[in-house]
Amino acid sequence: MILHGDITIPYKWTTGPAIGRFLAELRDNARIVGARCAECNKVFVPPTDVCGQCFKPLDAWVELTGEGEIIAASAVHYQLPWSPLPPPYTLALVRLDGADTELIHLAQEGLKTGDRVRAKFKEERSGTILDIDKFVPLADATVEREATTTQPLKEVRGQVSLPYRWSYGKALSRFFQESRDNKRLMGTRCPRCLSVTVPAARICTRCFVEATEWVEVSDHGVLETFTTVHLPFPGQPTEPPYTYGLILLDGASTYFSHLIEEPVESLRCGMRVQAVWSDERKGDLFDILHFKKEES
Amino acid sequence: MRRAAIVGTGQTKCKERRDDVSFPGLIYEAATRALEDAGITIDDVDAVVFGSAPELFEGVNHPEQWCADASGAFLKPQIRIHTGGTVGASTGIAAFYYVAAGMFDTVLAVTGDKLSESPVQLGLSTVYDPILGRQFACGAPSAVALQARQYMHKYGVTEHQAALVAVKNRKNALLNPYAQLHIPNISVEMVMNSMVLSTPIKLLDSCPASDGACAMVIASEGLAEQYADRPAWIKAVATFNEGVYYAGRNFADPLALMEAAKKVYKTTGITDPRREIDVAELYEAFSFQEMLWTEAMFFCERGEGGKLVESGATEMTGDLPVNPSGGVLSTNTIGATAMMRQAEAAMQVMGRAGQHQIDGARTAIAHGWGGGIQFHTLMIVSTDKN
Repeated sequence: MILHGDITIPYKWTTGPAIGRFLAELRDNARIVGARCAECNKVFVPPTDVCGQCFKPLDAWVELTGEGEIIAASAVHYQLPWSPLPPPYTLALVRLDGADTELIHLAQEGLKTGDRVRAKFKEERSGTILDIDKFVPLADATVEREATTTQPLKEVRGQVSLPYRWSYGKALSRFFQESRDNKRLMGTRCPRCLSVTVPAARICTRCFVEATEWVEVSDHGVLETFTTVHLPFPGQPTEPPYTYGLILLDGASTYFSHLIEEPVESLRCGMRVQAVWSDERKGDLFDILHFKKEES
Repeated sequence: MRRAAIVGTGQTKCKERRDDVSFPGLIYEAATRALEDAGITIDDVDAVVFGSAPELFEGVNHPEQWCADASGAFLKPQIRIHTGGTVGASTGIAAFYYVAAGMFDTVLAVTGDKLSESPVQLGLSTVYDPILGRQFACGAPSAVALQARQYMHKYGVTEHQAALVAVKNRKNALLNPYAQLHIPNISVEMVMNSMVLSTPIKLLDSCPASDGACAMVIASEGLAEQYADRPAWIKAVATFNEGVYYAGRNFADPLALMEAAKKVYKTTGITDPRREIDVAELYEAFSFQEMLWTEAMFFCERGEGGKLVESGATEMTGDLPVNPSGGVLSTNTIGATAMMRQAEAAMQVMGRAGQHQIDGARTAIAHGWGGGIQFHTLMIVSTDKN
């Protein structure tokens, strides 16, 4: 069995002084600036906060013409969800005049090592590296722009979102098949310490031996500890407030973690609880809706 | 095994958001301060060990590559360590292993995180199993809340006793210029009345999320005495683990920490830790944990952690000051946090702790905690080489 899901996290990346100034110059002045190391005199483009070779901060700014030379180029023929353009497009290492490092960027198709190029800027710019549209042959006319004073960009916002297919593995697959089809909770007994791990697991954590004997445990048990979550955060799967706890099911030796639906005041460590099953079971944790106080 | 010592430490000012520097910029700040403290330059460093917590906090994979320039790793041997919340300590311990094993003579260990770059509880929730529990786990606070409740139930410690820890450490933080939280009027009432995050844990029972970094220079015997007039000799280290939901687990019994403590006490010949250790820096991300950790480290009997804090023994004026730096309750970068414990322990025995110096501190212990409440590390440092 497989669980399909994703991890999506929003970010606000602090640029730091070097990239903050670099991006602001791209946006406000359509100009490329680099930073010079006072120690080795090398010019870094894009600028970094530190010269790694000299282990010194870079603090002298250098304005570049935006003209340079292709050091290497590659035509990209495959596409990923975040590709900057539909393929094929050309990616190049560009050594700008006055720089000692290379900039990676898009280049006009057909450009090759040794070709002279200049940066062509977009008309609408927002303070990203893609404010440079691409590098084009130097022969194309240059647009002169007047530079204004810029405020460095403090942060760049973005997001990382990755889809996942989490494999249950053999033991959990059987555990969730039983829960889905038969409303049964299954554990595995360790042949050495005889403890029963629930949900079923292939290995006994304590003994590091395979637990191959399957045993059914009760859907009733003891609430060992619980908490009511009030803290909200972006992307939270369950909206607070809600209560969950660790339950020691009758016949199990390990905790089962699940939601508890009872008035908070009535909850005590050590109280008896029982599972409330869902009518629509899909083979996941929510085959059980939640636990409630045991009916006497 | 060669003797090794901490000979320099460096911390950044920690803030909720350091919008003046990038993540590599923070790392550079800590690394250069540690070198300066040791009185050496990057040319004297033979290898670099880098550590940070889950990449999802900053959203950049290979942080050791991103920070290679800023950590001084250019054309040097470099490894990266990652062990959850204990990563700062594991990074210091890895640097110690390098020197003790004779691989390198002078090693720079540097750690950090910039937790303001993303919603930290969202990133922390991804440490839970996606199939069993991520659905309703709420980052760190809810997991520790389950631990706190079980601890209260088993031993009868109280929310009021936990609040005493929260107040003590915040008062200590007022003496530490690098600490993030400075709350001059902190009181038990403030803690008890603060917003509930996840019962029984309230906002002021909890650490803040910080942007910050920490670095240390570790050197071999021979060099260490040249770099520092009073090196912090590393006498013993331990990194122990336990499972998440293993049979018979009780969160009020931190077995991994108890094993780690037994190991480092045995190595150093300590038989009465309460008397023989002068100062402790513990990873108390939440107030309840400091009481539990002091028990598991055999500073008092099991269940007596609350009484220990009530007695005043763990205050700066007590016989066993715990977290004179203000602890994790005052600053938590996660990546650098456990190294800050080691650095603070070293500063105490080196006599470099400034306003929060414990007079006459000769032996100090540093603790790290992380993972699903199951990683623990310890390091004992001493003025005494032998």
